[in-house]
Amino acid sequence: MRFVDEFRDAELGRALAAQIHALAEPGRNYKVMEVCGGHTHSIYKYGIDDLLPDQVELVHGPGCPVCVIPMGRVDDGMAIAERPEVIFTCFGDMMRVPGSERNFLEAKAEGADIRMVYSPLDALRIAKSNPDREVVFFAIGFETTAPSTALTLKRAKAEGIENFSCMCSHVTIVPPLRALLDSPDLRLDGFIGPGHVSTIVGVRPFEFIPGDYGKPLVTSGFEPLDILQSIEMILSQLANGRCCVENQYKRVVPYEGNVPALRVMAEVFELRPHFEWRGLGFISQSALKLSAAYSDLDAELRFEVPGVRVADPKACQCGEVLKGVIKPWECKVFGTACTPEHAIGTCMVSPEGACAAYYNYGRFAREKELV
Amino acid sequence: MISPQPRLRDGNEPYCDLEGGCITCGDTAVPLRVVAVDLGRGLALCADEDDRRETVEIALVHPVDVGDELLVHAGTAIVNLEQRA
Repeated sequence: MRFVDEFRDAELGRALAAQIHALAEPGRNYKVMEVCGGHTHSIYKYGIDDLLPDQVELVHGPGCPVCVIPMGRVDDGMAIAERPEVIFTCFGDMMRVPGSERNFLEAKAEGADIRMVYSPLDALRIAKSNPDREVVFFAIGFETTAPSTALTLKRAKAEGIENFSCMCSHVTIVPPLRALLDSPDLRLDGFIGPGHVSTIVGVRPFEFIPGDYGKPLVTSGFEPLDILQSIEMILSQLANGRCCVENQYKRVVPYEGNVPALRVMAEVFELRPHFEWRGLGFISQSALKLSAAYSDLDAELRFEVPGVRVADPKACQCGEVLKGVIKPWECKVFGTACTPEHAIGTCMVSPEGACAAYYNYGRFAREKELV
Repeated sequence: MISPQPRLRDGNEPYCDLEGGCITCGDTAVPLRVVAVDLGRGLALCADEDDRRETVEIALVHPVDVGDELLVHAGTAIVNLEQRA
């Protein structure tokens, strides 16, 4: 397939790995954060980690939209989902995110009408074919997914579908990155920038990272050669004393992003003053809610939600994993009490979560750490 | 290759495949080929390389022609790869 096969070429991969080895200065350690959960998944699926020199460490960032949803938010959704008149719809991974008492999958087993959808448009279709029920879409995701929700809400309004509403938990990528960079316990040398978020927001919003914090960022695709080349570009910047934003994923990502998508998001959403991120706490202006023009489609206004903050389980160290302070297998409950089948923390729920990626690809521990 | 849609268990119950990952929840988009365009409704019928078909929102990637390759996330085309070529 075009844009896929040529980016999985083993020979080219080995050549890129050799360049990375040549660029890594002896005695210097490099910590590179991949912001996006999709990159984490690719890194372990293709064993990219094994091709890198020991002194290059990949740190997994907060870019899994499922992993950052706090428990209280699940409980709020549950309060709506358990109403008898409601058909509650959400993406697949969201079904297994633990609330304080149960997850959506368990609530479904107990009789709540909760359905998994692949797109917000599917949820709207369910609303059209069930005019006597209230259909609520639980929207999660970064800027990649938000335009899809925005277009669906526009469509619902244009078609006058009154039994459809949205509980919006969309988040934005830049504020948590800034929060991470301000965090005192984090030392990073560069960033692998999120590829598909950048198709929407463009490359420009990341220029504050080299500008204000002096760290290079390379926007990267998701195939193994994409990620290897991005690491090579970051190390090359560091070796040559350069520091800027570069776009490795030019075949997909335009510098200015997707302008119609940004326009529709600006019409349908507005920034929340604060939003709680699991493990990272409250971050200002880091999430979206429905704008005043679309407030009639806001499920949080249509139904009563408790809005209670629920503390994360004490044993769970998702916050430290999300900040890259510890590796997943260093968490006390990793692979024992917390597994993909019985997740305590959200990083174990989604395959894009750092813990699930480690668990599913057998990265229970690293030999060099065991010595 | 990650499945472009949730897989179906017996009884047509959709689920997310842990191995492949849920493309909607991850920041993943898949390339799909346009089979037919319905400009009136702003939708296109698209197919993956195994000819599995789905309806895709195309408001963000105009203009779209039959045969174009689109990058699709959560049922919405976010990039027309022909325009990037």
